[in-house]
Amino acid sequence: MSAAPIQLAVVGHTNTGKTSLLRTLIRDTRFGEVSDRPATTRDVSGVALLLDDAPAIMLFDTPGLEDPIGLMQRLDALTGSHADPVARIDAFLAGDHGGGRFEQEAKVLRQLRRSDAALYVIDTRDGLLAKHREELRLLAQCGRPLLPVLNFIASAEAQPAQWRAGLARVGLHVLADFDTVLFEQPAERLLFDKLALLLEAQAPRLRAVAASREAQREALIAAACRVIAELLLDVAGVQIRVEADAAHASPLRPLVTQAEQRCVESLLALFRFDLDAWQPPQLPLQQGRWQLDPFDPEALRVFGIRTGSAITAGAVTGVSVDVLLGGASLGAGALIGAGAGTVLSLYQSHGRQWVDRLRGYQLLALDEATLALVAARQLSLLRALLRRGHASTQGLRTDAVAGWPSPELRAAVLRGRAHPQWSALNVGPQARPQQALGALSGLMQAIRSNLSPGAA
Amino acid sequence: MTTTPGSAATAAGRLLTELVCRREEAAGHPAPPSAADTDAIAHGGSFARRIANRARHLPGSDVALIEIQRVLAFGRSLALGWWLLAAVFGFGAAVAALNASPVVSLPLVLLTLVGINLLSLLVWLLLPLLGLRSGTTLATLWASLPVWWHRRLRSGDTSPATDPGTTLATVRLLTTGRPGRWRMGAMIHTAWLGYSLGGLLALALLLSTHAYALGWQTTLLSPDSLRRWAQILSFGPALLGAPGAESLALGTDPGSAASAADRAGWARWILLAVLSYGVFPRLAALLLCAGLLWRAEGQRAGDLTRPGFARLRDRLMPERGATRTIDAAIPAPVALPVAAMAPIALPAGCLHGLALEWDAAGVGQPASRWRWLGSVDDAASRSAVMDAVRGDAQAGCVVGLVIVLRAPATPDRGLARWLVQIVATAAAPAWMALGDLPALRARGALACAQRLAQWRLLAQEAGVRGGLLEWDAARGLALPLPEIEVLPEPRTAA
Repeated sequence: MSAAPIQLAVVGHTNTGKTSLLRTLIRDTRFGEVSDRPATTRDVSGVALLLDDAPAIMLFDTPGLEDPIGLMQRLDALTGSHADPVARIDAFLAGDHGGGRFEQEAKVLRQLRRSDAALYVIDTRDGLLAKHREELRLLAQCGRPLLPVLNFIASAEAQPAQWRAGLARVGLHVLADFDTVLFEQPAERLLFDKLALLLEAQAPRLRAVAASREAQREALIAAACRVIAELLLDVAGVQIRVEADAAHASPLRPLVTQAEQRCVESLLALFRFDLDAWQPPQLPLQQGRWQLDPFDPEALRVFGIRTGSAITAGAVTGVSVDVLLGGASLGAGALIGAGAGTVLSLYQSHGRQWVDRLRGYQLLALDEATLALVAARQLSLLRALLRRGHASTQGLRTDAVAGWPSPELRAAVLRGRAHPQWSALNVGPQARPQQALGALSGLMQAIRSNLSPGAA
Repeated sequence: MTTTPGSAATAAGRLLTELVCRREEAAGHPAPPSAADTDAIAHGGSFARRIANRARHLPGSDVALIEIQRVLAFGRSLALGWWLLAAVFGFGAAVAALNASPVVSLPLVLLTLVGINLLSLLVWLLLPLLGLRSGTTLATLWASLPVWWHRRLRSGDTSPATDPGTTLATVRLLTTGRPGRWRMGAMIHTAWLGYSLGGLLALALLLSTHAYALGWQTTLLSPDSLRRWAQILSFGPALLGAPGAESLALGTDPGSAASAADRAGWARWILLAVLSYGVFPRLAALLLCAGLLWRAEGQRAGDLTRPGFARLRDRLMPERGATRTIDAAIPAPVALPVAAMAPIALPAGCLHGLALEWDAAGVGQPASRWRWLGSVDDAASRSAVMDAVRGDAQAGCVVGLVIVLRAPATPDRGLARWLVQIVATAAAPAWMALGDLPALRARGALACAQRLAQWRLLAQEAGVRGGLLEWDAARGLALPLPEIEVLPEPRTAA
C-alpha cells in the first residue's frame, strides 16, 4: 500500500453533477458552486478524504468538458488520429490549447494526466450523444482508468439502460450508479468497490476508506436516534401545572415546539445540512385530550410497582422492630410499616394531584395523538436526511405522517408519560435514564432499518 | 487507546469534559471551531480522547480545571473529615459502652457499635424501594458548602478570578444522576465504616489494657431468649474462629464474675462481632457503591451518541481535508450586454430545418414543407449539414433556418460554437425551436425558467435573430413559446 493518497479526477460533460458528486462524497453542502447552468466550475479544486487523519484519497473537481467534438477535430488536425494517444494529449497540453479556445478542456486533461484514475460523471437524464462518445475517446487517450458514474438515476427522465449499452460499446463495462441528490449508502460502497477493481493496488486502502465512512455513518445514525429518543422522552413526560380554568394547550405549546426545534437543529447539524433547511410544522395542540390520564396503563403499572415496593419496605422495617422486641409487639410493627408504605406511595403517586385539584390547579401532559405525530415526523425527517445527498439544492421534504411508526415505539414512548422525572423539560437533562434512552434509540434504529433498507 | 473520554486522564479532566458537554448541550450547539479543535486533532487518538483533549484546550478551561480541582480537593477533605469525625464518634461510643456499668453489657456494646450501624444500612437499602432518593436535598447541601468554601478562599486571594458557576456545576455533576447517587452512598458507607473501625479500635485498646467484667444482661428477656440471641449472634464471630455462646458462660448475673477464660473469650467474641456485623457489611456496601459509581461514570463518559459529543464528530474526526484550488481559471472576460432582439414571426415559406443533438425518433418530422436537414450530432453530420446550408446560401435559397433542440439539454460552449457557424453560414434569419418542454417543466418552474433564459442568451449570442419557439414534436410544428411563470420553490412540507 502506497503512502501517497490516491488521486482521483472527477470529470465529465458540463452540468452533469461533478461538483455535486464531490459535495455528497465529502458531505459538505458548501463545497464549490452547484447550479443548473453550464461552466459553473471553472477552477480545478482538490479535497482529501481522510483515513486516520491522513489523506487517503484526493478528489479533484474539474471544469466540465464543453466542446469535445471541436477538440478532437483539432487534435486530429494537429497530430493525426494514428499518433500515440497519450503523446497527443501531452503535446496538446504543452501548447496554447487552441489559442485559449480549449482552455477549460486543457485543465481537465491536465488534471487527469496527474491523477491515478477518473470518475466520469454522467447526467443520465440526457441521452448518449456523439459529444459524449468523443469525450470518452478523449479521456481514454489520457491513459488513466475511467469509472463512469451514472448520476440522477432516481429521476423519471433517467435513461440508465441506454447509457449502459452505450458505454459497453466503447469498452466501459464497470460503472457505478450514484445519485448525488438521492443518497444511498450501499451505492457509495459499490462506488469504492468498483474503484478498487480499477485500481487493484489501492484496493485495501479504498476498502478501508469505505469501511471508515460506513462506521462514521452508523455512529451518526446512532447519535441521531439518541437525539430523537431524548425528545420523545422529554415530551412524553412533560407535565405542567396550570389553573384549572386555564386554556389547556397554551403553556405546553412553546415548551414542546422549542424542544422539537432543538431536535431538528441537532439532526440537521449532525448530518451537516443547513440549519434552516427544515422547520417542523405547527403542532396541532388545540386538538386531543391534554389532561394527564390517571388510568393510563403505564401509570397504573408504575403505581403498582411503587406501592408494592413501599409496602414491602415498610413491612420489612416493621418486622425488624418486631424482631428487636422479641416478638412482644405481636407483628404490629410489620402491619404499621406496611400501612405507612401504602400511605406514602399513595401520596407520591396521586396525593400531589389531589392537593392541586383542591387548590384549583391541574396537571397537563401531552396527549397520545400529539406524541405519535412528534415521533412519526422526527423519524420521517431522519429518513429524509439519510436519503439526502449534500448536493441537493431543493428544500427538504418529508413524507406526510400519521400515527405511530410502530407499536413497540408507542409502548416505549407512552411508558415515559408515567415517568415525569425522566423528562428534561421537568427536571433537567441529567434526569433521562440511560436504559430508557437506549431502548428508544434501539427501537428507532430498527424502524429506520425496516422502512428504508437502502439507507442503512 | 481509551474508550471513554479521558479515562487515562485525571478525575478533574473527566469532570471538565462532562461539564463542557453539558454546557454545549444546554446551548444547543458546540462552541465555534477554535484552536482547541486543532489541538485535539493534532494529539490524535480515539474520538473519546479527542473530546477530552478539546475540552482541556478550550478557552477558559485552565481556570475551570483549577476550580474543579478545588472542588475535588474540598470534597476529599470533607470526606476525610467526615470519616475522622465518624471514627471519633465510634471510638467514643465504644468507650462509653464499656464504661457504662461495672459489668460491661455485651448487648449494649453490640447495640451501640453494630445495631445503629445495621439499622441505618437497612434504611439505606430500603430507601430506593420507598422511591426516596438523596439526590436533590443532598445536592443542595453539597452545592452550598463548596460555594461557601470558594468565597472564603477568594477573600484573601489575588490569583485570576474563577468562575463560581463552574463550582456549582461541578458539585451538581458530582451529586446528581446515577453517579451522584452511588457517590453519596459511598460517602455514607465510608463514614459508617469509620464509625465501626473507630469503635473496633477503642474496644481492642481498652479490652487489651483493662480488665472488664463482661456479661449478657437483660431485664425484659428470659434467660432462654437471651441464650438464643447469643447463639444467633455468635454466627458471625464463629465464622471468624471465635468460640460462641455454646462454649462460653453467659455471665448473666451482674454479681457473678465469669472465669478469666470466659472473659477473654467474650472479648474476642465482641471484637469479631463488630468486625463481622459492623465493618464487613459496610465495607461490602462501600465496595458495591464504588463499583456502581465506576460503572455509571464509565457509561456516562463512554456514551458518544450524546448530542454534546456526537456533534463534535465531524470536527474532531474529520472525514475530509481542506479544499484548495489546484488550477485556477483565468478570470472570465466581462460579458458585454447583448442587445435584445425583437422576435420575428416565422414566415410561411420553405424554411431550412435541422435538429441539433436530438435523435430523429425524438424530434419527429416537420409538418410544413421545410427543407429538413435531419438530426445533427457527430462531426460528420455537422460537416455535411454545414456544407448543405452553405451551398443553399450561396444559391440564395435560404429563407430562414429553424434549429430544433431539446429544451432540457444544457446549452454548452460546443453547441454554441456550431450554432454561430451555421447561423452565419445560412445568412438568413434563424429561429431556435425548443422541444421536450414537458420534461423541462417537470424539473420545476424555477429550473425551467433558468434553462429558457440560458437558451435565450445563447440565441442572442449566436445571432439567432428570430428568437425562441416551442417545438411540438408530435405535430411537427414550431409554435410561439409560452411564458413560464416562476414560482418560489417550497422549502418545507409536512
